[in-house]
Amino acid sequence: MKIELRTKIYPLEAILSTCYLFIDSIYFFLDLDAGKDEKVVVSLKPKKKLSDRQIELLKDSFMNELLYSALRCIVSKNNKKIREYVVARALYSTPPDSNFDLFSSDEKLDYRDDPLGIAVPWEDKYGKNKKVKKDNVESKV
Amino acid sequence: MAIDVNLIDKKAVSYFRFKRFNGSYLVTNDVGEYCFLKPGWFNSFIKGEINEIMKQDEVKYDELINKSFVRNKLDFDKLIAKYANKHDFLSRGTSLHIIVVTLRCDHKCAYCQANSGGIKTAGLDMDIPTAKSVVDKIFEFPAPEITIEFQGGEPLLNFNTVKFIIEYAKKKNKNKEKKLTLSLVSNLSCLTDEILKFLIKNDVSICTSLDGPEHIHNRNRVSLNKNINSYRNTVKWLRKIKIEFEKTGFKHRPNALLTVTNRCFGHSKEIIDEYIKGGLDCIHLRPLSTFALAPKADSLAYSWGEFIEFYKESLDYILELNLKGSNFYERTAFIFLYKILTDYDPGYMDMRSPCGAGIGQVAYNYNGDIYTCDEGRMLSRLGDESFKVGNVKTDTYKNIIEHPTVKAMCISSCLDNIPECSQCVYKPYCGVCPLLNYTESKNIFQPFNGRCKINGAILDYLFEKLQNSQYKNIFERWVKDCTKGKAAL
Repeated sequence: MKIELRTKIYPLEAILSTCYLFIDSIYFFLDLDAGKDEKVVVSLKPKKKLSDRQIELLKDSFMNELLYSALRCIVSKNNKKIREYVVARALYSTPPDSNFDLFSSDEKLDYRDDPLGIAVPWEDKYGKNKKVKKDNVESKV
Repeated sequence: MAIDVNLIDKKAVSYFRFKRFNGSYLVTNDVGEYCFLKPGWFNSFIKGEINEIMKQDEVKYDELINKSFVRNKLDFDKLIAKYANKHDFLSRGTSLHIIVVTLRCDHKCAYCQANSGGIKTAGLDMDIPTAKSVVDKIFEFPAPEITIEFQGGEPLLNFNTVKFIIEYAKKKNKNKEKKLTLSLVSNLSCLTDEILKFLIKNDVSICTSLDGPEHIHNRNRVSLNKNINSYRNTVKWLRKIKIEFEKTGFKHRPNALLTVTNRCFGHSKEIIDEYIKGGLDCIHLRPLSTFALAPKADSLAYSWGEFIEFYKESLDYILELNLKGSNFYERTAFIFLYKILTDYDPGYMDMRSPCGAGIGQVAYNYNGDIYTCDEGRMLSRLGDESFKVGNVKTDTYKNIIEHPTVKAMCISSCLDNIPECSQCVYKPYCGVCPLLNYTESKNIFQPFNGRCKINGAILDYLFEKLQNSQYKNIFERWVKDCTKGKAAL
């Protein structure tokens, strides 16, 4: 049995999360159809022999759970910064960054993005050829 | 009613977890607040139309705001304070120190998970020099509150070492000024008036096992001393301890544990009545353990579903008694309810995230070896030393707390790292035991095991009862007295 899911509607995280919930009863294989309209193709194989009716029911449950997982992903993504802020303040008494926008969303960020420049090598930032004022360097430490 | 995820109002909805619950939705959040929403309300809620809820039910509207479910009305100071309280156990350090003063035992229990040796087996007792090193090691831990719990085998078979540890720990604590609590877990077979007097004088709480009426208890817990009837002896001492508690100002009520075997099925009322008759104020319905030697107890085993049926039957009876004025409670329910109904967490080692292994508790074997927890120590008897993190004579506190096994236990029991747990509606109240996973599947990460099903089913039942104001009042009464809560854990 195969199900094709458009990633614009169902985030990949939601698809993976739903597969995980059914991992006890189903074998999964996932593939990506990277066409104009990107799709994830989910191949499902029940671990036990099931009747056609039981397979249909399993598929329906999977689709319902997928919807819940999509909702969970949206709520989680949209509240990520608030949750991090609460945990940091509660457990570490970390003072919040005054420029930090709690209510903005991280949705547009890709894992390869690096808004804080953490992945930029030191030489590129402060190397010999870069004339950086001492004060500026200290303020970043 | 269908959910349209495209209509979610991202600015209005704070973080929540949810599940369908008897035709409604149960929603919870990171600080353990909960709320029931009818499907129509749930849809209004996620669409940010909470004014629609206000039109129908102002109380529900206020509840959603006060419980931090509405993002644009969050009270951050309150939220942060509650999150800090709920995770206070993280800053308490390693407070529970379990000492196995002997592996010898004078009982042969059908489900024994402690891997005890025979009563006359030599070389299984903790000697005094090792006991001294154990106490010295305990006081190296920076936790301001320390509980020393004596376990076995049967600890009273090596009472000299128990006595030495109590006296030495108290002496050492005069300089350290920690809050020191002492606790003995014993089958009471070797208890004498003189020992009891010593324990009372030194403020040692006593916990035993009582498996219900005589016909169940004596089949499960067989005394190797033919002159001792295990049931009658246990009940006799429980009564004596209760008298001391009531008349002499001894601070600790007697405590007992029940290990549920299939022999208990059909006898829930009888068992609970036995506990009440014995002067106990609560019962802890614990399922059979799969640790260590417990698999030999196959003939006593059952499915998780059968356990839940027994649990519900028992809880129903306890609630029935409470409706008639009793204050008797069940301890697993109490632990969950404490998390659900108060701003705090009891820090119960097996039911927190991350679990207590290493960072909340350690266990010391009779030879001074140190384990992440007593269950890890039990596995060592089968030759599996995976959970050993040091020895009192050779390892420092730093070695122990930074041991890779402690880190692995921490990571694998942190619910935020476990896919199915991180999104579960019961995440704020639950916990996993990586060691239990390991014994079942040789993998410290294991989704959906029997324990997950039991916890989920108990929480389902408690939330079902919480919808009834009569039962909710009883539950609130149970958790109201925080002192009782701490004593119970």
